[in-house]
Formats: sequence, C-alpha cells, structure tokens
Amino acid sequence: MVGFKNRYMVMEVFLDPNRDIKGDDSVIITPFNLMKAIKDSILPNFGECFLASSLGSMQVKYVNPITKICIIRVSKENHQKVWSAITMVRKIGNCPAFFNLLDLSGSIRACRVAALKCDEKKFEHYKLMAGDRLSTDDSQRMQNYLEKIKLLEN
Amino acid sequence: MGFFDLNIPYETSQSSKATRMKLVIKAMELGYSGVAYNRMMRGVMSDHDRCSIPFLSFSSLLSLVPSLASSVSFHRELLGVPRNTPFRQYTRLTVCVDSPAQAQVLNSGNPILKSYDVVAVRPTNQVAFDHACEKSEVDLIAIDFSEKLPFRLKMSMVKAAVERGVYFEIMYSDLIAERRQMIPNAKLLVDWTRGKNLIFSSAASSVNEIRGPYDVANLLSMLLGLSMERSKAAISKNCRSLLTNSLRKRNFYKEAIRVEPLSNGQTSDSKNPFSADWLMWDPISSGEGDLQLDDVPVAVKASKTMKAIDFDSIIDNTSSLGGRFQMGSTSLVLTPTTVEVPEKLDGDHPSTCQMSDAPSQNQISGSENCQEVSLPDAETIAISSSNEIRSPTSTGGKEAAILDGLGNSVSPAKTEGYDSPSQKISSVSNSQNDNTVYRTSVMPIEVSGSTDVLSQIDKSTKSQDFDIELHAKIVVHQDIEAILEPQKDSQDCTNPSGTELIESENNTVSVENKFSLPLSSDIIPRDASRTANYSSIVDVQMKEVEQTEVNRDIILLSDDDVEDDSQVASFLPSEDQNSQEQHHGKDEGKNLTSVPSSGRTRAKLKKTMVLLPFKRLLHPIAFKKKGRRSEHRRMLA
Repeated sequence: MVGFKNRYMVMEVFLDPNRDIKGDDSVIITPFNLMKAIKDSILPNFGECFLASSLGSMQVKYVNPITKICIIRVSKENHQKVWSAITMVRKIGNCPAFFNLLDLSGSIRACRVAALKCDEKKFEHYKLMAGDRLSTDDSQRMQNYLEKIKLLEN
Repeated sequence: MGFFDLNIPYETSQSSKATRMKLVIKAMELGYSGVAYNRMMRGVMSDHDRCSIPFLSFSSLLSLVPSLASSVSFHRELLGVPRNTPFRQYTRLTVCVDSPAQAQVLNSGNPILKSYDVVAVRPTNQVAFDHACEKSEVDLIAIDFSEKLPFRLKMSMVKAAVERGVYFEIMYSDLIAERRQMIPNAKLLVDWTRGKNLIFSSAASSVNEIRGPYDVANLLSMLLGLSMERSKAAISKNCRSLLTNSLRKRNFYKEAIRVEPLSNGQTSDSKNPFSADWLMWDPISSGEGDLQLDDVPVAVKASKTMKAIDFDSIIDNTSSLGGRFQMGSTSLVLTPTTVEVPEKLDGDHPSTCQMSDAPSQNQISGSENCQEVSLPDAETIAISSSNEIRSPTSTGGKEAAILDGLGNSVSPAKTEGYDSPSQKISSVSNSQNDNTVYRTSVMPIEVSGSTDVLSQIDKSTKSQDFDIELHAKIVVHQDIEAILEPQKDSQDCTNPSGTELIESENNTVSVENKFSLPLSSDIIPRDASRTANYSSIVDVQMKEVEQTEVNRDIILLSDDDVEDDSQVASFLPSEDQNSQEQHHGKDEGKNLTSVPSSGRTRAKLKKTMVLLPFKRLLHPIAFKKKGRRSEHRRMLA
C-alpha cells in the first residue's frame, strides 16, 4: 500500500510587474487571496471536476508578504495541472500578478529547507531594494516568518 | 545550459522602449540568459529595413533596478545556470509572407537578412507556408496560432522543414491569454515534430505575460502533450542550437571559419598568444549584446565587427588564379568552428573513444580538456609558427609566444602520435599556464617524443652545445607537418617544394617556405571520409593567406569543384583511417636522417603541401604524425 503523496511548490509572486519598481504594493498577499486566484484560474481552464478533485489536498501552507514567497501543497497526481493553472494566473484580486516556481519538492522537510533558503535570499534582496526604508520592525516580522517555516508540518 | 526567450517585440516608439527594458529586466530576473529583439516586417523589404535595433546596456538596466544583479544570481542559482554566464541580446527579423514574390526575398544572398542574427518567417497562406518549409533561407517559422490558421499544416512540409534544420516557434503569451484556438493546431505541430526543432518564446507585449522558464516548460508540456524533457529542451537547448546555426551562417565563411580584422598592435603582443582568445571562444556570443553581470569586460570579440567583412569579395579575390592576398594593416585570424563540440563529444560521437583503442587510451581520456582544447591549438601551431617565420632573428622577444605555441601544439599531438606516458602529457599541458615553465617543460616533450626525430637529433648533436630552443623549433615544424601530412596523399601532382630550416651558431632560425598549390581540378577526393578535407580546401586557402606573409606566391584554389557539404564535414573519421594514420605516425621518425657537423646545425625538411585537414577541426582528436618516406626528409648537416 502506497501512502498518499503530495507535492510542495515554493513559489514567488510578482505583484504588478508593470508598475515602477519602487512603489508600495497595492495588494497584500494572504493565503486566502492566493487560493482564490488559483481556484479562479483552475475553473475556466480545467473545469469544475478537476477543481473539485484537486481541492482535496490543495492548500496554501505559508505566505510571506514581505518577500512574497508562498508554499502551496498539491496532490502528486494533480500537481502538473495545478502548476500550469497557477502559471496562467494573471491577477490576484484586482492587481496584475504572476507566479514563478522556485522549488518543487516531495516532502515537507525538503520543502522547508528550500523555502528557508529562498526566503532568506529574497529578504536580502528586499533589503537592497528598500535601502534605508527598512525598519527594524520588518526584520522582526521576517524572523517570525522564518520561524513559521521551521514549524511547518505536512 | 541557459534559457532563452527569442521573441521580445521591438518597436521604434519611445513607450515601447520602456516596455522593452522592463521585459528584459524581468527576463533577466527570471533567469533567462538570452533574449532576441523581434522586429515584425510586412510588405516590401527595402534597405530601410536593415537592422537598427539598439542593444540595451547593463548600466541602463541597473539604473532602473539597482538590485538587479542579486536577483538574477538568485534565480540563476535555482535554475542551475552558472552565475557568470553573460546575458545575451540578439536581433531578429520576422517577415510576414503572403505572396510568392515576398517569399523570394528570403534567399541567402539578401544583405538585409544578414544584418539580423535570426531570421523568421510568418506565413499567412498555404503557398507561403509550403515555400517557407521547403525553400526559404530562414532559421525559424513563426506560426501565429492565436487566430484561425489560414493554411493547413501538412506533415510532409513539417518533416521537410525539420530535415532542413528550420525551427518552429510557439509563442506562449497567446496561450496564457487566448488558448482555445491555439491548442489543437499547436498540438498537431508538436506531434509531428515530436519536440524536435521546436522552440518556445514569449512574444510578450507586457511584463505581465512573461513567465519563468520552468513554468513555461511545464505549461506547454501539460497543454501540448510534450514530455517535460522535450519542452525544457525547447526553451533552452533548441534555442541554443538555433542560435549557433544562425550565427554560423551569418558570421562564418562557409559556416566554418570566422574571419575578423585584427589590429597590428595585437599581433605583436607576445604575452597573449592567439590561443587565449580561442580557448574562451563562445559560439553563441552576441558580440556587444553580451551583458556581463559583474561588468567584467567581455573577453569575446564582438561578432558585429565580423559582419563588416564582405565574404563575397574575399571569395572573388581568392578564387582568381594567382590572386595575391596582401596583408596590409590588417591580418586575418582564423578560428575553427568549435560549435557544440562538447555536446558532440558527449552524445553523438562515441568514436572519439573508439579511436583510442590503441594503447594510448588512457592518455586520451586522461586529458579530456586537452581534447577539447585541441581545436584551437591546431590553429595555434600554424599561426604561431608563422609568427616565428616572420621574425626569424628576433627570437629573444618572441620566445614566449613561440614556446607557448609549442606547448599548446605538442600536447595534442603527443596524445595519440606517440606512446608517451600520460604524466608527461600532463606536464606539458601544465606548461600552457605559465610562460616561465616552458623552458623546463620542453625537456619532457623531447623525452616523450623520443621515438623519433628528437632522439636522433640528440644523438647527432651530443657533442655540441645544443640549445633547447633548437628542439623547440624543430618540434614546432614537425607539428606543422604532422597536421599537414594527411593532405599530402592527394598531392602527388604537386611540384615538390621545400622548407629549409637553418640553424646557425647563435641559434637564430631562418626559414624559407616555398609552396605552390595545384589547381583544385587536379584534386579528386578518394573516398568519403576524405571529402571533408577537400571541402575545407578553400578554407585552407584562408590559412595560406597567412602564409603569404612569409613570402611566396600562392596559386589559390577555386572552390567550384569542392563539395560543400557540412554533413560531410562532420563525417566521422573511419577507424581504418585512424590506424593508418597511427601507422604513419610511427613511421615518421625513421624518415629523418641526421648528420652532425661541428658547431653548425642545419635542418632541412621538405614538404610538398601546406594544407590543413578541416575534418580534424570538427573532431577534436589530437593530431598524429603521418609521414611519407619520399617526401619527408630532414637533414642535419
């Protein structure tokens, strides 16, 4: 008997790529609006049946609005289709956005390692972008998010 | 490997320039290592349509996004692309063809097409599609799947195009926006090409439509039923080979030899031998379009300058009998086509291993970099030796260069030609790194080559105070011959001519080369594997042009009779030929007679013909010596 298998996708979100680089984001990403955007993409592309069958295991495990990194769990059978549906996402809420896959792993442990690495690197990048606008508050929040990744389970 | 997006729309308006910059930034950020700016062209082509697409500079991108480099290196690391890969920019022209007259424009002689790196065609009716698949001189067929296809895809046509090496393009931005129309036809194309000769590109009109490489690969493999491997190749490997093919067509003489002007100052620079450039040579370099992330000066020569050379005029000059090529302020440097050598080594050419079934197997496999390197080296020999010949008395200043040429050239030759132990080879190849090592490393070369000449020379000059330099120079000449030998077979009709190598007491060498080449009509290829050599004869003329500097008249060959077939050029060398060559290699030493004289040494070697086998440049096997008793004699008097 083979156990049920998941795939964990570490993705980054590019919010409003057309706008000039140094602006604040018009949307704060949360698990809910990400999930909604993905569902809205699956429904017209792959239909209600596929949406229903994929919903069982699909979950947004983690979202970091600072670095815009999220972890999405999908069942192994559906992950390619869900992934392509995510690729076809063009909007989150009313804001143009698109996803980019950073890592695809088969267990939460591997995913944690990859996500930690990506998150830290993206935060370095964020610090460079923000420059002196970076507050100590941000670093503190970032620490909390990194802790959250370490505590992720299944 | 690197991922490419060969369709970034280009328009001249100011607003589109801002969009283009954003697109390029995003493509860089997502980990792509090259883009092509696509210009659409409808209607009649005029001189106005010559390529005028300006490349973006890294500093202008950096001013828009200061932290670009960190983001790029982050994504490249995730994709497994080396961080220091330059970001390349190419130019591309897409011609919309709807009448047979327009299709006629797409021929190989059109200078406007030559000003672009990649030429694509967008057929809009059945006739145009058939013509594009079967005849047009294009690199890419870009079918617009977003609307109803105005023609029927036919399997025979698609097959014909694939056989000609023309690629098909599928643009995924349509797929993200409007897919119902597109999927059935695109799927048909994918089925028929089976993923070969297929590339994916974005054709993104806004930043929102571009996607990361893996996302694209997954999306299209999902929707078009392509395997993940194939669709990854469609965005990386296929693009790369498309680029190498198209750049080779444009910038290379007969798709094989790169010609570029070289300033006089560079030729006399003994510290940097020519080989340095070739070792770093990059088949898909876009010249000044290359953006180095670290702002390292681009080591590769700009390919744009090469376009300045009009190949037709060169051909005209050389094919006229007795046409003399005067070397004025510019001299020509020839670079072999090393296109995709590493890939060929890995995949298609297990024969490099077959060749080494001789006892020297471990030597070959042990010095793999030596194999790859041997292509440029082969050239180095000829050129560095011509350097030497050019300035016979000023040995002091140029020793480094000469010996460097030696160090480079000897190592591949030894690899197969002699039964030298492999550690010797490694010591030789080490010597390429440091000029100061050369003197000492000449000794192992001699020892390893002890089967022939050198040992004899040693014996003959035991009593004398014999400088290492002498050995060095003789070895250089030997290697020239070793390369040139295979051509000799065909040269029975040639007038015998000689090269004298005179060694005087103070070890300055004066060399006189006298060559005369037969007309090509006298040359008849003997067998298939030889054909490659002959197709390169014209290429060899270019090499001869170098030698003209030495002093002699050259009757240049006309290339009319020569079979020009790149397929043949990449023909695998048959094994019997190899063994034959190896046999010759052993023979060679015995051909030489040596006579000692007091204090004065004279080396005389005769050779009939100076031609380089082109086939060897494509197949990086080391050169073997191959001699003929009658024609190849050296006297030490």
